[in-house]
Amino acid sequence: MNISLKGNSGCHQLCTMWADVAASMLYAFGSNGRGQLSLGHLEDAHTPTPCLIPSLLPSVPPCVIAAGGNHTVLLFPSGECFAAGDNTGNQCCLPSATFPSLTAFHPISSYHRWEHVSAGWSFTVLIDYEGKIFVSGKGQKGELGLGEDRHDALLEEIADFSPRKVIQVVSGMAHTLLLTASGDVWGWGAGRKGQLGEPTQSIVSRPRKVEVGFPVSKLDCGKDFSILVSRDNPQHIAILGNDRYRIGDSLASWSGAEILDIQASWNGVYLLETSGTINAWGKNDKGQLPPPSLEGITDIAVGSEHALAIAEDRTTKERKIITWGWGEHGNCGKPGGGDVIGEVFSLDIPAPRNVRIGAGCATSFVWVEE
Amino acid sequence: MTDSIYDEIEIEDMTFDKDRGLYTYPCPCGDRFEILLDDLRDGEEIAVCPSCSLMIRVIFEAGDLPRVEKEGLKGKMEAAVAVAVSA
Repeated sequence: MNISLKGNSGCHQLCTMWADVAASMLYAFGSNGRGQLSLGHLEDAHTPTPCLIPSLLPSVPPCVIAAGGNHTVLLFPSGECFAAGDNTGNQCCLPSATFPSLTAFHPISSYHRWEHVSAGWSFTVLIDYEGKIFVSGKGQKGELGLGEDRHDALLEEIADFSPRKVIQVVSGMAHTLLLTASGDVWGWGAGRKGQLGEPTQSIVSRPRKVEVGFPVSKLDCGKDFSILVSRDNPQHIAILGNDRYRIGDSLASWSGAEILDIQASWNGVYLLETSGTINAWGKNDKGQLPPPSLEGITDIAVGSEHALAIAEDRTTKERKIITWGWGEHGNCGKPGGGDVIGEVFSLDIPAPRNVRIGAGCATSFVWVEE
Repeated sequence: MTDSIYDEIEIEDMTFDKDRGLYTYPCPCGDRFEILLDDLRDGEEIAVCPSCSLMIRVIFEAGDLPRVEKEGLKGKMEAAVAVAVSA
């Protein structure tokens, strides 16, 4: 079955270019103005729609689905990376003059085996298995980490910077954090709100150590803030930067079970406990915070102002993919589009054991093995 | 009206495009909120996104806005006159 052409009956000529992929399927829905959903066009999709998949794409699940402002990057366990969407600033790691936008996933430099990737508003950060850190894209606030007056780059290494053993990289709108195996945090980019720690600087144009005060085990970037979990005391979660929704106060009084995952939206923090419940704080005018009754959650993917999760029924073990929050571009997958407030919406696609979810700026992705 | 204001953003955090006289700021939909410098000067403070319903309120001091181009224009004219004279 040629999965990539489902729902694209007018694309027969592409049959030779897009080959069969083993029984796996990548769906996307939401905002698609620059082709970031890899659907072969620039129209929004209001329900889960099969992506155009290049024949080179591995049939195993991606380990990272990184979604920036208008571009999406997939990282696979093989070290291969693929990007789609806006490339006017080289954020898809290809020359923008040749590829101003990619409406289908395209491989990123095969000269490297990539281990980590993150995507910000208009830039991408990639780390290869040798520990070299590369950036591609554009930004006026130090997003590239290449130094003052460097506002664009095409897959360029950040020279003279090699922190020992990076285990995670995350990017917010305009800042990036690196976490090392020893619990140290490095960061660069926009720092005007204090998201890169003290001293507060509007632009941190080269990587600098972020003084958190404790070794960190988990972290994420919000729009203009950072959240960091203490390795030694997981009850201790710090927030650096803009905290207009007083999330720090809520985190200080949180006393929950073990943390499975913690993610930030643009204006919120979502904490998934191993018990399968989500604690969330922050902006909630469009139903961004999940209903409190949710249980059996095994995974979350938090976008700019919406979220996806995998929910497993305790008794039947039946799994569902659910969405909630701001859904104006169809990114909650509800037919006809629209917000999902005070409840969750269950997607009408199967959720087998092997499933991955991703979310970005009003974009949603679901990879399933069928 | 306030219900539809997505966020309040300080003008220092916005990007200014001199050629278009336009301030922009990322919208969570992937597009950018926009407001013209001229509109800010006229007292407008709501920047809109061309692709969705969200809007932001721009926080700024009128006195801190870039000065009207008159001085620049005057400077250019003086330069032009100087060139003409020297020619």
